[in-house]
Amino acid sequence: MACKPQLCWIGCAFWATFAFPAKGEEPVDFEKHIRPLFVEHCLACHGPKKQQASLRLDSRNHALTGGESGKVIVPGKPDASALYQHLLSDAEKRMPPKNPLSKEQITKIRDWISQGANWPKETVVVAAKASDLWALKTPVSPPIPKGVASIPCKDPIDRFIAEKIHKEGLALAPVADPRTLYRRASFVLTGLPPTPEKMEAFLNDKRPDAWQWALEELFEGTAHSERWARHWMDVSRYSDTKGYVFFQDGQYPWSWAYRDWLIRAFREDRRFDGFIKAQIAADRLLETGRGPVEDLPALGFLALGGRFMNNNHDIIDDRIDVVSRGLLGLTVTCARCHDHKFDPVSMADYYSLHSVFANSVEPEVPPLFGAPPITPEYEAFRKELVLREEKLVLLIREKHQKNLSASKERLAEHLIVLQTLRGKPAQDDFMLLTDPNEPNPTLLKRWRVWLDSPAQKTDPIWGLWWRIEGLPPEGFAQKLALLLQDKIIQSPKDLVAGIEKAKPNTLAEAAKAFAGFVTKTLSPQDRNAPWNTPQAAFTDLELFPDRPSQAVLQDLRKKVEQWRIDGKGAPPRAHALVDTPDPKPGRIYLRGNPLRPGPEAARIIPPSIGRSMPITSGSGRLELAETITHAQHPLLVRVWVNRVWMTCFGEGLVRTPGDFGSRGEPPTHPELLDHLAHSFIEDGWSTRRLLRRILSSASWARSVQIPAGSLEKDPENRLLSHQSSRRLDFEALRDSMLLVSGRLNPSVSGPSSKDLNAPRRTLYLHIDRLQIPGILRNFDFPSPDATSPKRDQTTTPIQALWLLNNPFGMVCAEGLAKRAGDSAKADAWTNALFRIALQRPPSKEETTTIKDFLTKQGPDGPVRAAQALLASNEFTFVD
Amino acid sequence: MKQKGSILELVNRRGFLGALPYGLGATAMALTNPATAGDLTPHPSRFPGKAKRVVHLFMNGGPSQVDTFDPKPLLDKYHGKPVPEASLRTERKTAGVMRSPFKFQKYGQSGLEVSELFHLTATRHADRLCVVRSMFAEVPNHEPSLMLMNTGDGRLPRPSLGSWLLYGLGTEGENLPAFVVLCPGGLPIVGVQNWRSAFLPGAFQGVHLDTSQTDPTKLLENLKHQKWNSNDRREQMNLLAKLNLEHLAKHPGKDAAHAAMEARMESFELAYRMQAEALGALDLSDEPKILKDRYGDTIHGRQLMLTRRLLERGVRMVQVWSGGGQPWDNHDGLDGQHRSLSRSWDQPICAFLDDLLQRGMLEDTLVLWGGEFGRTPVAELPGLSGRDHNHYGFSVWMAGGGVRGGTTYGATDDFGFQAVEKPVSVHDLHATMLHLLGFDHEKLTFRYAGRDFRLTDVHGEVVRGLLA
Repeated sequence: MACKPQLCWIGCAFWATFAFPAKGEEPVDFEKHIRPLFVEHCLACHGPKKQQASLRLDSRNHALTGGESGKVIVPGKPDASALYQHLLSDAEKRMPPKNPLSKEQITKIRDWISQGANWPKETVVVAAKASDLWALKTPVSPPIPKGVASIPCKDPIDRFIAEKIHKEGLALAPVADPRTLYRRASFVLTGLPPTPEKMEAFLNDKRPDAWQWALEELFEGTAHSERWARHWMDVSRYSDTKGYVFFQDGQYPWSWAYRDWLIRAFREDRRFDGFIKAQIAADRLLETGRGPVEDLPALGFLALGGRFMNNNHDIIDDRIDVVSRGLLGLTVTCARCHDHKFDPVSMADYYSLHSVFANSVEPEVPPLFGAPPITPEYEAFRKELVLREEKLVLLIREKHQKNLSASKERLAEHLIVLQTLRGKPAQDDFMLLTDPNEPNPTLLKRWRVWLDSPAQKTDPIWGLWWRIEGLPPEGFAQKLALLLQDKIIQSPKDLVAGIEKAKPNTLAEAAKAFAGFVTKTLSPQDRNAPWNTPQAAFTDLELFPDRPSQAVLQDLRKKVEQWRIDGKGAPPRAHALVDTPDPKPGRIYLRGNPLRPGPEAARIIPPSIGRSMPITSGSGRLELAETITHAQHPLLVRVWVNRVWMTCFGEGLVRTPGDFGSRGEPPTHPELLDHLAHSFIEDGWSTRRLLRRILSSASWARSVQIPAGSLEKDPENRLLSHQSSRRLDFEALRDSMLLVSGRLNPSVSGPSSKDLNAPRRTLYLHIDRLQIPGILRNFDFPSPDATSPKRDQTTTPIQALWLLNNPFGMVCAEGLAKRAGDSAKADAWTNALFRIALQRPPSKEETTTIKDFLTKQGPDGPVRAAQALLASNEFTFVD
Repeated sequence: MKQKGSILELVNRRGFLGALPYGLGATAMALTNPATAGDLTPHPSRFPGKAKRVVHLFMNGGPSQVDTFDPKPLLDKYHGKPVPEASLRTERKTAGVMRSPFKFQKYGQSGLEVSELFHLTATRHADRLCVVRSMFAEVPNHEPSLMLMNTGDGRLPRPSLGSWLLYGLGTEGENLPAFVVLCPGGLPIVGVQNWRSAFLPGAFQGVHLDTSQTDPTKLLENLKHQKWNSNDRREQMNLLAKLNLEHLAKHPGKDAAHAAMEARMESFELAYRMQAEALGALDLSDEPKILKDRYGDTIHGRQLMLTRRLLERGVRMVQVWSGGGQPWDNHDGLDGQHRSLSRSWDQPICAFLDDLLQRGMLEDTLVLWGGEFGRTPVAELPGLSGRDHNHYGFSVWMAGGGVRGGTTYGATDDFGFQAVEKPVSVHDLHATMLHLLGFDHEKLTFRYAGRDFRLTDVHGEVVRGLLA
């Protein structure tokens, strides 16, 4: 897979300094052409471990410095570069000494040097060591800075920020006005604007701790838990469907139970460690008496990913990704095909995790996550379910019996087919299909293996057949006659006589005669014989390999499953995982290819994900959950605290929230990040307490007015001298439109809705991986194909058209215009309109503008004005 | 960015902001994308591309190569008999060789051999077609093969070719989505995954128009208000602009948020104009009758006429599908079905190429014709009247946009079963297409989840033999 860093697209500045290749030379890309050569051929002797001739080629600095004999690379001059000359030398001086480079490889090195030996500064040839990567070091609680006299601080957070601001000589924005702050807090905590009444109440609250009261009120409503559940759904790539899975039903019938679980978890401010543990191993926690059955839906975190046309390795990869990148900010899945090129994650580590998920499967019957109700309705449901299940079981049992008896009763036919398969390699069937009434292919395979076993080859009966089927068709009769006279195998006399009597000329005739004798003798006692193969040896597809019977099976199965999903009185279930009964260690797949199994993968949680632990029971999910939620784990809490910060400030302290590895950005305030991580754990893993702290800090409360000099010195506001205006994401925009138009249906939880115009909060929309409504993607709703660290923000006219022309927007505009009262009383109406939509009264000029507009417009004027407000930047940006 | 005074000035700066994917707000996009930090502006290509836009005529279901562009006389000789060497494994049960029911002949100065199914196109354009006869895919199933052809990966969610083009090239026009998918009567297999943007921003995904609709207002969502006409709205747009300008004045600092606010203001002006202009683009009624006759008043005729109009307005990629489901998947009754399908395509394609040529657009428009795979030279059981899926070898052709016309490239075996001479993978095809558009396929990368992804993953080589 293409994992090279992006070197040539950094921008125009880079192009200006690029030494263009001479005529006839291909431009050489260090990453693509040179680095792999160094890694493969040079670093063993000239790298971090050994430095023969004091030369290291693992970083730009070392390489350009050279070794004992001075510089080895002279950019632009290959002929003056010892490195290049050594490649060309005769046997004695030649490098590498054992396996010389190919002509093409040498030419690449030459061209690379002559093109200026471009080697991007930050690129180190070998992966970082765990000890080098800041994010893998256990956070220690840093001392809290003393602060700066000139900057008032409300929380230790402010001292960390003030220190840097002061050091860089930046000015600070003032604290924003209360109206702005309340609106901002409302969006951060609930994803909705405050109602005008709430706004006024807050502004009139003269209590000294009015702000704390306001925050508590925002926390208390369900809106907060819904908003933060949705944030978490970005991480957990939530969708209500599986993606493309051929003819199967792609719906997750109870995906919403996971969403409900999230909402409840945020409402209860569930301890974050427990919140994570449940999502990885609720089943194991329940089993070991450490977790409630109500937590089972939490496993949707793992189970509700895409199903990639049912390719199990892709499913496992996705689960590794959601845990490692989603929770830990590590791009572990890079190591599926090769060791991670930048971070200390090896393939061995990847396949240790792979085996954890390979040993975790969906139970055939999804579990209930609470006691079923004792009602007549449920009892009726259960009875019907049993009836349907019995039909299915019966069908399978009968089909199996039929296969076995066919192989006895139509033995001759089976023997002929078996002969044609003899010696042929097993076929890699992508679709194992037969016609009805053909011998069952899986049963035939068992026959073949059995016939070819040493015991049967020397068996008086089957050994004879094994020889007969090996006879060539030419002169069959004669050769058979000779064989029958042969006394090597003591075949029963009547069998031999029976075949002789039939005078078979072909194998088919011989098979008939042979079968005629043998069929009667097939013992039901012989456990290992193919005609007694137990039902459990077959998968469904193997038992029903032809389309018509497969269809009958699917039909009955569907009747069971469908009833379980939506039969009258059916209780909801959890999309859970369970451990396989007999977990097996996995293997490393060379180049990521399951057909090329390599060495066994260790049964451990690998240290490279932050902390190690041996796997002692089951799949290892429980150990995984315990390891990453350990208080000393360097990543889980840092990544979460960073996300919370990002939600409050628009950017995280680490601006690559899904990549804390060496290719991600380092934190802008590393000590602050660690301080927050530490205090988060000390505060009892409470997200709500963390939010309370951040939202009560002076830094968070700063205005969006950019102080003088800040844009020049810190254009991206990394030092947080001010807050930045932020655009609402699609959910917040749509929910706000519903709220201000008075249409928002406040009901909480329950199944998803497929109606884009339904007046419920947007997180309840049905998300189909295969068919995400275009408008959602156009508003940068994240693709649920994989965990999403951060929303994109694009601006397109398609978004504007939705606001201008879609009936949803119209209904909202009508609602808003109506809520503002009688538009004939233009002043009052305008006042109400602004207070509802923008949580502030209009300015004089704005009142005049609106009044003028209403005068010019006909009866549709008020709705159009309301729509303009909904479409305005002020509605969609939060200061 | 300079200070502006009026909405007009703001709007006039459009050309200055030229970006993605609606010629819009690169600043807004670039500064707020987490993964790329400023990397969503169009990428300087490594070299000038011959092609500026792509049309993909997608014969979904898998047209038969031996009945269209890859003549195999031996099929006649072996009709009904098994392939002499061991037959390749097919997805379903197949029997002996099936001869092509269609006549082949040589066309043009190049003597390109094409079957009667594409007689008109070959008669006029044989010397412009570059037929790749040695394509191969990975498996004989529609789903992975469609995804491979469209996104370069058979299983995993990856951005489609069109999304990559927008990422790389940006757009020329402003009033239309830059990647448009025309598919009449429902969706093909795997649906919108065929044109998704996956981890690229949502704005890069293809916009699907159901071309069985003839009413232009029904083609694209939200283009028209239920009851208000555009004149009704001018005042409203002015009100909006006024409110926004006042809001912007309260945010004078030129940071990313300021740029995003400006971009959003601009997007409303664009949207306002798009209502009329996009409707104009989708409305074929002003096309001269003589041209309509040439294209033919059929779904595909209208699709291709619409395609040309979209291209003229700066759309980067138009993917034109045969239809919902998998029309070319003729497991039986191939004779009649291939005949009627090609009849529905031949005249429109011929007229379309003519039209592009006349307007001087063919030279910088890359046209690709083909399916997700081909079909077996052997007949499928039990009907013996059709062909099974064949990923071992199949044909596609390209025209315009810097390809070498009047040529065939590579070859299948004597029966047209498997690509044996100079085989071309789908990744190679993608690499070549990107090359024609001015991109090194190894350099057009996007950082996501710690990796630099590209359309061709770790594969693909530019097939020089296809270049003019």
